[in-house]
This record gives sequence, C-alpha cells and structure tokens, in this order.
Amino acid sequence: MEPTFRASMNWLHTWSGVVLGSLLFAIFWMGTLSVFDKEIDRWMMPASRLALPEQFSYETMRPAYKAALAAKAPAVLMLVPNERNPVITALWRNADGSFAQRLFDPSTGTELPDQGTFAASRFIYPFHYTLNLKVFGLGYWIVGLCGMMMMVLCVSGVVIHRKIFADFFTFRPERKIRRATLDLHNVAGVLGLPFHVVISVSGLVILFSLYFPSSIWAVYRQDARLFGREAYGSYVRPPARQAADLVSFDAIVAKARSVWGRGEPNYLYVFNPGDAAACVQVNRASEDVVSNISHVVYVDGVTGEMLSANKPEKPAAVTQRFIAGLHFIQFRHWTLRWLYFGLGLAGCVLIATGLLFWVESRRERHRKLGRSGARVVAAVTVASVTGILIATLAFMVTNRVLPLGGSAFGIERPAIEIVVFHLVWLLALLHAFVSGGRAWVGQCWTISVLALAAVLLNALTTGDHLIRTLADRQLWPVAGIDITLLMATVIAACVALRLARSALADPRASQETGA
Amino acid sequence: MKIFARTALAIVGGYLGTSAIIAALSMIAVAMVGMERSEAATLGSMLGFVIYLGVMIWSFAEPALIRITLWLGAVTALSLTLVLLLGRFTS
Repeated sequence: MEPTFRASMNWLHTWSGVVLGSLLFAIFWMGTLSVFDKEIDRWMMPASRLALPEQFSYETMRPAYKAALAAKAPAVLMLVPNERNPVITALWRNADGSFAQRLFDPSTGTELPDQGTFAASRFIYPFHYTLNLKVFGLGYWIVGLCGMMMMVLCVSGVVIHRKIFADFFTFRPERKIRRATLDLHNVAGVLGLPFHVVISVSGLVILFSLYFPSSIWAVYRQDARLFGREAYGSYVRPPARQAADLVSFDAIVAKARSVWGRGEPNYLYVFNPGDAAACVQVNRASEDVVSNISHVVYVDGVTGEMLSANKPEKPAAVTQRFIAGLHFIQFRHWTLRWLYFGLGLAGCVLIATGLLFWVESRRERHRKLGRSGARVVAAVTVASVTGILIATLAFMVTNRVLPLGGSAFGIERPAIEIVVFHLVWLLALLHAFVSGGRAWVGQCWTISVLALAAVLLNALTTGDHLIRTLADRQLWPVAGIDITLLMATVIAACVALRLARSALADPRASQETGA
Repeated sequence: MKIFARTALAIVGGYLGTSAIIAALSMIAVAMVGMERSEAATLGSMLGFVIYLGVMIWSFAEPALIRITLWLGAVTALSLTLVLLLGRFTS
C-alpha cells in the first residue's frame, strides 16, 4: 500500500468514501427520517390522526383479530396503540403468501379506511436497512457492507486526523468553499464521532445472526433453529387442527402483567389463530428501558394459562438486545429522539461534505487533464444528496395529491407513490448531469418549493393547518412534520441564495460550472 | 488490478476468515470454558464485527499482498481444523 500507515488510511478513507458515499447517504437519510417514522405515518395517513382513549380495553383488538382469522392467516401480529402510534395495527400473511396490514380505531375497534400508502413504516424504514431490494436478501448485505465501511471510514478518518481538538472549534465559512467544506466535514465528523460509531455498530449487531451465522452453525450443527429457543426463550407449538375460540385479550394481558409487575404490552402476536393450540406472544413495551425486547411471555390462547415466561438474564443476549435497543429507539424520551434526529442529520452532512470535498479538490485538475471522473462523481453526488431529498418530498407531495383509492395504468395507489419517488430521483440525476455545477442551486430551490407545497397541501386536503395542529395535543406529530418541512424550506432557500451569490462573486467558478 | 485483488481479499477473504475464527472461538468457549451454547454463539457473532473491522483495516495497511493472503489462509485453516476437531470431540 502507501509508504506509511497514515497515508494508507488516507487512501482508504478517500476511496471507500467516494465509492460508497452515495449509498451511505441514502441509508443515513432514510434512517434519520425513520426516527420519526410514526409521525410521518400520521402525516401521510390522515385517517390515523386519532386520540388515544382514556381507558384502553384490549378487547378492542378483537375485530382486528377477526379480520386475520377471516383471511386464514397462520399468525397475526397486533400492535397495541400508544402515544406515537394511536391505532391498532394488524399485520399478517394471507394464505397466498401476500402481506397484509390493516388499521383499526383504538376506541371502537372498527377498521379505518385503507390509506393507500406505505408511508414511513413500510417504505422509508425498510429502505433504511434493505434499500427495498428483496432479491436474495441482497439489500441486507449491501447495507451491512456499508455499515462495516462506515466503521472503516470512522477509524481511518481518526487516523488521518492531525489536530482533532483544534477541529472542534474550526469552521471558516467565509473562506473558500473547499476549505469550508472540509471544516464542516471535520466538525460533523469529530463532534458526531461517538454517534457515528455507535449507530453503525448497533445497526450491524441487530442482525448479528444474519451477518455472522457461522458461530451459531458451529455450536448448534444441524439444529440451528434451537438457537432462537435457547437464546431468547421463544416458544413454538404446532396447530392442533381443532377449532377453538381465543380467550379475552384483557385476560391474556392481565396474565402477562402478573409476571411483569408493571408495564403494558407493545404487541400481541397470536400464533395458530382459531386453533385449540393458539398461543399468544406478549412483549412488555420498552418505554422505560433501552432494550427493544424487554420481557416476552407466552400465554395459551384458549385456556389463558402461562406457557413460558423466562426473564432474559443471559449476559451476551442481554448485551445484544441493549445494543440493538440503542438503534431502535423505542424508549420514550423526546429530547433523546430529537438528538438522534439531529445527529442523524449531522451524519448526512458529514457524508455529503466528504463527497463534495473530493469533487471540489479535483474539479480544476480533472478539467485541465480532460478527465471526466470529477464531473461524473459531481453529478452522482448532487443526485444522491439533494436528489434523494427531492425524491422524498415528491413522495410526500404525491401522497397528498392522489385521491384515496386512486390508481393509474393499473398501478395501485401505494405503488404510484413509490414510482414517483424513483422517477423523481432519476430525473434529479439527469438534471445534475446536464447542468453541472449549477445543479446545486436549482435542486436547493426545488427542495424549498416542494417542502412548502407539502405543508400547504396537507392543510388543503386534510384541513389540519398549523394553527389547528399546534392547538390540539393529539395533532402535534403532524405539526412537528409541518414545522420541520417549513424549516427545510427556509434552509434550502438560504443555501440556494448563498450558492448563487458565491457563483456570481467568483466568475471563474461560474465559467467553469457553466462549461 | 492489484487494488481489486486487495479489496476482494479484504472484503471476501476477511469475511470468510472472520467467520472461521468466530466459529472456532464459540466452540472453544463451549468446550473448554463451559459457556452456555446460545451465549457462545451470540458473543462469537458480535465479536465478528470487531474482528472483521480489524482485518479490513490491516488488509489495506499491510504493504505485501502475499503476507495478507498467507496470514488469512493460515488463521482460517487453523480455525477450521479446531472446529472439526472440537466437533468430533464433543459430539
């Protein structure tokens, strides 16, 4: 490699950054949005902007269970409504293998009209960890490699850094744009370093048994399926092929609570519904703990007796869940949630400025040598940074424009939103290629306009404008999204103005970008 | 060309080598330390990320490609032998 360790690390940092930066940005961006996935769901599914009932009876989940029973689902997962997600969500697989998700009113149990969108929990969130590439689970592996490379980038970045302390306080926005970019990259990298490391490690550790299964294979040999049972005390039993009714959900939850002491469940997972061997998995909501799976119990669905209730006490398993919980952020803490959001954005800034610095420091040289490398990377950078922001906003705007139950060219409503997302992203890439260095200005204006349009369309189509949403506690999630969108409008406009001005002030740069 | 070989060695070779090492470590933990097997498997998998990171960094820092190949090959072979021996010994 290079003559010294530091030079090798510099090379590694530069090239892994250029090659994977775009993908990393997409993963970080979608992950940052997923911090507020439930709030985005409320925004995109207006019928679910509901208030929680004062006293929730678990029997309200009965219609949701009945719907799954009618669909002959082998198992049904029912999410208990909570502050962030005030609806009963039922998820199951139909007999033909297709996936179903239905929403139910938390007060009456009646089904809500189909909202015709995948919103955040079925599009943005899975995009974060699979890129929505389902073929052979390819998405998981690409994201996993990106996670590993993020750690490599953190380590090599620290090694090539000379004055780590001085960079805490160094930001020179008035200097040349290239210098400012590097300063911003260093500030975001140094201040956010603990977060960037923890978020990459914890993301990988969630899927440890997928990414590094060899230790499980080695220890368990032929019966690797025993691993889940031994590590997590999971309980399974085959259906008895005999019809039977499920006992009251309140009784099931009461049984679980008798083990927990205090706490409410966050989901009820019914296996073998309608069968005499029905079995309900109940997990204690992790509102007050970091670990995302805090205490699982299994209750017999027909007799209401406890089947299995092992408290997780094995050190390695508990550690794994704690680290995973750091990534899932299911605990209730609004300050920390916003901090995760802010640090996620800092990660986005870190990746974007890293890419920009590479482009800016080569633009001149490549132009003289007649090489196209910097130009290609520049266009890809624009598309993967501002492009994905525009595509996300277009996704949200489309959601507010399309009528419920609408379809076009035989494509269902949820799919149209996703097609628009990808088409707009592609258009952003084309635009970046065509307009070269000026693309940033145009795309920043587009972000500004689309974000404002999303807020206006939300007010127009649902009547939930800011004055109303701020006044009503149950509509705060919608208000939060609207305010964030308005902030994006202002920030994007400021950046566009600033970039346009610096292009005017530096005629050499504008000539170059115009070329 | 050498860069491609090095990258492939770091990513693919590093992954396979790490997988072999953690398999051996988990088996040692079960057979010799007496750790519960689900615990050994979980711990081994989680260590995998750290070991893999180290192997990748080292693959890009070590000047001689041949040395990386030999070291990785030797450690993998040793780990796999241990897995086979311990597997026979315990079952």
